[in-house]
Amino acid sequence: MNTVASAAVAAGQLWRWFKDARRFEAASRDPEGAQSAKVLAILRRNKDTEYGRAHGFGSVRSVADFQRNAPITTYESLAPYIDRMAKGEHGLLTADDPLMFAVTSGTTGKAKLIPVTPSYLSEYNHAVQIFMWRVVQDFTEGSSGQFLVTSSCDVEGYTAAGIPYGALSGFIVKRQPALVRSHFVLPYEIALIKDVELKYYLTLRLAVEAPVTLISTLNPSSILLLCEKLQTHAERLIAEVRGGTASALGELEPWLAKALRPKLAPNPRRADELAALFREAGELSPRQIWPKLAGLACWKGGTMPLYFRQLGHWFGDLRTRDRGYMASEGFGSIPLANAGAAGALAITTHFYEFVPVDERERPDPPVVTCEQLQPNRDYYILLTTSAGLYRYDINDVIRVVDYYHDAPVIEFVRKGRGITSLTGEKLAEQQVTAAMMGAVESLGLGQIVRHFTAVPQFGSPPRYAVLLETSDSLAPEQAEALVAALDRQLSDQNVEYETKRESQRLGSPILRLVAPGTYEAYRQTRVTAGTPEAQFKVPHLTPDQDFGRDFKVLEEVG
Amino acid sequence: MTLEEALADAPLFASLDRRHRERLARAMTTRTFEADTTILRQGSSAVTLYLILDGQVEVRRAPEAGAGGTAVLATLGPGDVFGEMALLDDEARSSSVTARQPTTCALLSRWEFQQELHRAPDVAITLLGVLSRRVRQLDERLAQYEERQVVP
Repeated sequence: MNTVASAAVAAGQLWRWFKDARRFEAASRDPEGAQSAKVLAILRRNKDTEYGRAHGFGSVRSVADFQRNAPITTYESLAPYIDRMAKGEHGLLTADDPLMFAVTSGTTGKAKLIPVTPSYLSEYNHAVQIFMWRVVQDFTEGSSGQFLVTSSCDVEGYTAAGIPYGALSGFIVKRQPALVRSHFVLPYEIALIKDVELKYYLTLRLAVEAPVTLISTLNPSSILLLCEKLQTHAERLIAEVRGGTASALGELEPWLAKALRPKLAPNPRRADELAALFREAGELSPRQIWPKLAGLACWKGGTMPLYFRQLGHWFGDLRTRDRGYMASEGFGSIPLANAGAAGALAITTHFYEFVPVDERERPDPPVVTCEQLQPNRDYYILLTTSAGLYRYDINDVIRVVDYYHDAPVIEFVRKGRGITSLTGEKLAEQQVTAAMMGAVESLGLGQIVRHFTAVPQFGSPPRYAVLLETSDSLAPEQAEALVAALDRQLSDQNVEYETKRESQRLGSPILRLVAPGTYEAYRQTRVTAGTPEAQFKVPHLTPDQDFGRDFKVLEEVG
Repeated sequence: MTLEEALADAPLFASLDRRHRERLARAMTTRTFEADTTILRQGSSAVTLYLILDGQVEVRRAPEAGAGGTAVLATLGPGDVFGEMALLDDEARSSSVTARQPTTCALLSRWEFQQELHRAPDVAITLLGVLSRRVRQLDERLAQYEERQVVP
């Protein structure tokens, strides 16, 4: 493509982003109207489907009609339809057939398949375009280089009807226009690599030669892992940049290696630069090898703060934009600023309803729409999307923390199911995350704790076992202090935990220090089992008492 | 009272001429909060400035976001603004704000606020005064706290 044509395509892409952003801007002044229009459009398009006919979509004229006609759903209630769609039946949940099924990355349980229809993809991309427009506006210097964007394999397999299933992130990258993809460091083929070690090495192998200006992953732990691998493989990377080789290609399937090989060429000048940086600092610092790095984009809320804070070690106070509340099931928020982890409710993307957390157990809990949300109150969010999810309870809790014009600015608080209760304490995952962060910070161990998971353990008394992987060994007194600090912090976070501890109905937590590399191996196991790598999350609290039973425990403290 | 009149009465915006006030009034939205509602939470994302039209709010700050032992920094009423600091430095909210009674606010987003700063430098100068007063208040509180600490 010549320069004029490239410029025209780039301008066209910017125009698309701008158009989407402008539509959202207008809607932010009338979220109620935008949401009503959105849901009616979804229902109109799908009124003749089996589900649409069964729930009178054709007669729906208002949000209230829809709420009267259609029940709140879960994956389990929609699964019979989705299973039939996967077998090739048409017109069940959606008028348009799925292009693929997105596999969700739940931390436990069977994988779920979300039908990615053309209209759903269009909705999802609309939110992505607004996000990109805001990023381009705020990180203007980022456009002078390339974006290091990770994604996962979009074709893990095929359903009985031959429809591919896999990660939505890879599918979206694959369908980006060539010019947009030319701004990405990584070719689509990297997403297809299943071996985590190989994928990270080859990601770095390509990235160390690129003028990276933005790193974007969903999970901040992926960025941390990249930084660590950068050190582990520094000398090998420098040697292979010099020679234009990548020995790791030999471990890939031949067709994949063949697709990646043209990306490599001898680059002695870059190798010299990297070698000089490595000699000088004794490490390859991401800020030094990518001096034009303008920012990071990753999740910062929910259970991510522990990892997010560790990014400071490598990136200092580099601006970081949250990626927004998003899942395979839908796109919930578009972050507008760098501070915090919240974003404006994506009111032109899907239709949203909310159930107050403290009223969910009532026989007929109230369901409100976005204009009725109260600030700083927690709600379960329900999604209606063009993927055939109608009033879908995704089991996520959100909170309104601000407003953009009239649109609520929301942040993800926690997974609803991330609650365990050994003795009625109803401990939530974000409380465990906050407690661990408080404990390690009070003891100055913030950089040592790498991963952890609290597991309920029935016994006499019942207690929480905390599996913990550290980057350095903990002295016995440090480990004991950590147990005590964690116990105090859990009491601060959860008054019921405190009461149960005081009455000795709940025992003090115990630490199980696991071998280095345990969680990396766990990540690989999950990815091999079908979890999209980019969406992998370490659970900080799991109700699964068998979690980590196969982990190698080095020491038990407490 | 119209939004434009409220802006004329608010110290932060009083120096603006009518044209600027009209433009700001068009950009603003209004919202009413029930008594005891936490409007802003310390440590959370920030994209909007709040101008109190009616009612009263309490501004509190904890030593760290989410920690206990909050101190009341200020009680604000009609004509006062809150949430303005985060609009300048792209940092999280520095304090929590709770409605003490039913409170109506006019909301102005960061981007419209910053546009106005470019168009009307008077706003920036007035804002410096507001921020300076806040820093003085904090200094005074810090001095009082330190005095208490040295009392045997």
